[in-house]
Amino acid sequence: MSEILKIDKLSFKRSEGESILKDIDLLLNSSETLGIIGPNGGGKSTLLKLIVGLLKPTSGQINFSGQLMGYLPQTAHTENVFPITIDDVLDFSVLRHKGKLNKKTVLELVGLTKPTSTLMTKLSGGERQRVHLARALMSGPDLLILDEPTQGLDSTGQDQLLSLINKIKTEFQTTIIIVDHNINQLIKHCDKILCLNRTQHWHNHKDLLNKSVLESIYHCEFEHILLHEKEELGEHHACDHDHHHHDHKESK
Amino acid sequence: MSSLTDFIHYDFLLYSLIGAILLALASGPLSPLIIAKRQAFMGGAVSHSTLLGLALGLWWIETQNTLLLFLFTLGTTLVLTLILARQSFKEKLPEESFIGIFYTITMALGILVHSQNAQGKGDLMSYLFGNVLMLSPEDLMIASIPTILSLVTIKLLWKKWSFWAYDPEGAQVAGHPIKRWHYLFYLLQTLIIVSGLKLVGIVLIQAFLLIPGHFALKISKDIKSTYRNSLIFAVVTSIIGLYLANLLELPAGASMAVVQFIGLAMTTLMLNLKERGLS
Repeated sequence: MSEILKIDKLSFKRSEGESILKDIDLLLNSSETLGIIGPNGGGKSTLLKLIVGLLKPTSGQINFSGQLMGYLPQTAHTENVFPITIDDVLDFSVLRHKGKLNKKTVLELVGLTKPTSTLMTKLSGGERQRVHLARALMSGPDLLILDEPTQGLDSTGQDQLLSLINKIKTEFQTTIIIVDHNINQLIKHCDKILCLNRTQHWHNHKDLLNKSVLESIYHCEFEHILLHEKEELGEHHACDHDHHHHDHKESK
Repeated sequence: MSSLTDFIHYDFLLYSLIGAILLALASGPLSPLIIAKRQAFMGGAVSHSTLLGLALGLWWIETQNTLLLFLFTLGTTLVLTLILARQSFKEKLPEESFIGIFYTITMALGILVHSQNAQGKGDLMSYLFGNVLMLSPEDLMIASIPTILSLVTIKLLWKKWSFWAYDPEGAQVAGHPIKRWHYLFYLLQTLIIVSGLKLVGIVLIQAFLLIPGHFALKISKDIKSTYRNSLIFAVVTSIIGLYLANLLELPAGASMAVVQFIGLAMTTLMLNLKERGLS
């Protein structure tokens, strides 16, 4: 397996000086799947934006040795003012790089059966997510980066999407980075796990991920994390714990 | 002067017709993008900032020298627009607040400069509301520059710019030069606004930049036809507006803006009625 992404001592501060990420190291080989977990505000989406080049690091290096990246943002900040169809969205992905896959193949892969002339505004949130995933796949990226792709989907939808991601990995040997709140699902589907809470991170083989590591990252009891995971699926619980960032010492 | 043939018989009417068509051809295809990229307020800021360049130009340059006045106003407005474009690209605070400050301060400075130095050297009011009947062949030459640039840019980049409007982050990740596009987009708007000063004025140019796109986005079924419909709407309503202004002896710029609005209002009404009839 060849090395596809190497991150060295990556740090990112906001312009006002607030530290979001500090000294992140990461190594990812081709065909591996990395799951990133951590509390809200822990820097997960920031790390992905740094990798795809939407943000510039304050210090450190990101070395991507592949040719193309595919990116599915947390909530695609799309402006549906133009009458844009599924066809158009897929065309957009091949305006700069020639597509390795055709539209029919990617739409079958993501399980979308609607006619390609359908307007994006007529699709449900899950269907739009699938179209954007299909767009990310069109150019046949070496590295596919997915920021909370299961957001807004029910548990069946989440299972289907994660199975689909596995299928993509198997069929195209694509390296995948996925951020999600669903810890159990990520542990099940990913080869590596990165736990991230701003300056604190833990990154190793997932077998070494245990209750105490998760508690140190999330700053709460493991049972609370699982309860919050259920909440993501629509099962709410009464809890006044602040799961957002706390100041703490760095530990690896 | 009440017939269509007047536009052939009288040079000043023919020039006004050509000027109106050139402005419509320049602003029509860009208009849907201005709306989709939520830049309507920015267009207003650029158009009002021309007042400062114009006031300085009227102070320093002979008003008879149209080309030099145009180039000076364009140069000054471009510098101001570059500042606006740069700030709007990197500003963390809401863009509207910066545009609002820019808008009022450049206009206020323009009025101050004109009141102190340029009074009697050109009617600033005619630049606020335009005077299409005063166009010269030189003005038409100037107006053709943004028209050609706008048409060529949209012809070459319409799909890429639609992607940029739809998903700016996606376009950036795909490797498109969005910073360059951002500045080109501002440049085109500035060129259209400055060249339209004499034609419809600082205030009414906004109608040309917004109403055709609004109309096209309401009625179009695909991206390509949105640009086409916006262009056709801008040209047709400008011709009708100019004809009515001539027929009823009304101010031309205001007539064109009102005809555009009536066209949009009637379309909205018809679409609403159609929707109710179908449901």
